[in-house]
Amino acid sequence: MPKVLICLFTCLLIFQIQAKDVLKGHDIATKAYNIEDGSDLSCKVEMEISKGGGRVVKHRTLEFFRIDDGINNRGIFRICSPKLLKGTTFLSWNNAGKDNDLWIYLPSKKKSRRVAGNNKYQKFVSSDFTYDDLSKWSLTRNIFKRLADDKGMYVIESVPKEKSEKIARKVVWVDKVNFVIMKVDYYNKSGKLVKTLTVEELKKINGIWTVLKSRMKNFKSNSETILEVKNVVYDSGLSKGMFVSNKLNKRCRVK
Amino acid sequence: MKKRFFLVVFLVVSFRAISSEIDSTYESFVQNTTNRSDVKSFNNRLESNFFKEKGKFVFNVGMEIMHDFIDENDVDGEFNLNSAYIIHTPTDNLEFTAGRKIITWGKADEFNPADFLAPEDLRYFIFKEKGERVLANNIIQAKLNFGDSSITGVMVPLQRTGKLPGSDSIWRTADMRILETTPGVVIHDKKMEETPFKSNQYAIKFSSDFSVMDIDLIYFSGFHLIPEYVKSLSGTTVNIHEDYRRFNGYGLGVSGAYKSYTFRFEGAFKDRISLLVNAAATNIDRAMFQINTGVDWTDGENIHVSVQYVLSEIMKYKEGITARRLSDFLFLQYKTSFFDENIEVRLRVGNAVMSDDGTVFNFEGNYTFFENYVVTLGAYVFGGTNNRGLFSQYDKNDLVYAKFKILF
Repeated sequence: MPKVLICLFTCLLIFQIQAKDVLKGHDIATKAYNIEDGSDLSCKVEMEISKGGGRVVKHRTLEFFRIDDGINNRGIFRICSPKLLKGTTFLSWNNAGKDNDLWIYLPSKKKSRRVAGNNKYQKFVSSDFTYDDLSKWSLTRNIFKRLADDKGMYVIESVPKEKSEKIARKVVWVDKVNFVIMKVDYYNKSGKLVKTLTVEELKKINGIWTVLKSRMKNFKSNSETILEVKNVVYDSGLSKGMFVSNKLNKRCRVK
Repeated sequence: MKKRFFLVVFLVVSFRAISSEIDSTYESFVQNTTNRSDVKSFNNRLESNFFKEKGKFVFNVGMEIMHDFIDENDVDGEFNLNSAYIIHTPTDNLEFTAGRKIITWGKADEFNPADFLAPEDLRYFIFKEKGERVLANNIIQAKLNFGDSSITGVMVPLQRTGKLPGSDSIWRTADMRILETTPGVVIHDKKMEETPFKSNQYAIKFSSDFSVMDIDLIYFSGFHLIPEYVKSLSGTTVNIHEDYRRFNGYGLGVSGAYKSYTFRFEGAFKDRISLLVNAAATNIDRAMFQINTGVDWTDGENIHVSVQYVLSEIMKYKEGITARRLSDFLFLQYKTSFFDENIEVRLRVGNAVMSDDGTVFNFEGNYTFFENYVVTLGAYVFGGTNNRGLFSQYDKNDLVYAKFKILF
């Protein structure tokens, strides 16, 4: 009897390993997309933008709010410093299967304006991140392909279905245990590596794996941006009514 | 001047003691009109905004002091209380505001026909963006959010009106100059009724955000933000007096986005207006419409191009008779940035399409350094032969200007 059980467990283990091995690119991308990240999130974001030899040239403080209903999510980035940009607020509705909706509130104009979806490829507050880099990827607008595993991580390739996308190809490293994205290489249309995102600090907060520090290195401009997340609060019951265009003229409130 | 300066210092120190946040801006601005050597100015402005948040209440006071170091007429400078309001948010979906606060409505850029409640400082209109021109009004406001929509109701118990260029200003319109110099015409200035709650104005706005587009519907009952000119005969003398008369306004704003493009439309219909009413004795009222429609395009990196078309029905005064006609202009703007967005360059060209209102050309370059310092250099060139056209009337006002701004 014990021999039968051992044999059964061994078979199950082999089957499970094989089952994991048969994960395709899209399956890994879906698992990474669906990792537990709370129904809402608020946090403070510090950005340090440096040039050439690592000299910090710009410092940004922002606050971020996100609400997620499992299918679509909405996010708000509000700039708290420097003074010149203070109060500038970005609202995005990331709609599954559809184009994103984007609005920006500019204190100098004193009102919110809808902006074209492809503004998400613009440098975000003069950093090496774009708004698109800070959003979740779309499962329906990209084609995912699994590449050979590397450093014990899944590696997948993400290619946008639309040819007009600024980034022609991404290579993404996904942790095999928690499905957190740990590294992304961005390639342009001519196949050249333009920037790399690496996760430097990861912590479990309220049972949710949270990226606390990441670094985006831009090889084209020889600059890099370190993004640090602080004061993370999950599931505080943010109201959906906060994520509308005519409620963006607020002051920073995350301490 | 000294007294006002010390008043501002006193207020800054007092608010600093109780305020949780202070944002200040110092701006200096030099202009030289190239065709008229006598017109120069060196305007300085210090603005401070104080915020305090306590529980579900937000308090704000904003004020500015301005002084021109060249203009001999500017002896005392100018002090303005730009804002003083309190916001109470009892629930996530309900917000009450009372006090002096800027409210800007509308989807279009710069020219907003449906923005019935926002008076503007038009004295330096050419140098200021809409967001800098707009003045706060005295309001009581309630805003209710439901889903992705909201209803905003505003009452204005004490109306503020726009600030127009003075009689010695080079930005005084040709129509006003002609009226002032026509023999037999006497203009009677009238201030807006300033008795609180006597001439209330009301506005209601329904806003909704949808995927792909968002919409504003606006109804307004109140008074014009700049005076109308009403005509009457007294013997052979034509008397023209400024007046503010109640009208109903209906506004629609729509904006949408698709790929690299953003579309904006804003229109307003006013059921009773005349910049100069027609019949001298009877003062016949007219209805009027204004629309602004535009398209923005971006390459997704640092180039932004926009086209804007404005069509407006206006009344024109000519030799004692008024006529109604259409005025329109097309605006093209190209904006780009370099060196990590520290340098921004903007080119704008405005040209009347159907009317003979002339042309305007504007170049502006901004350099931002140490994060909070901005230097601006720019020039305006006006063209056209009609000495009363929207742009051509300023044909002699071509100018170069420089601005310096610090935020602290």
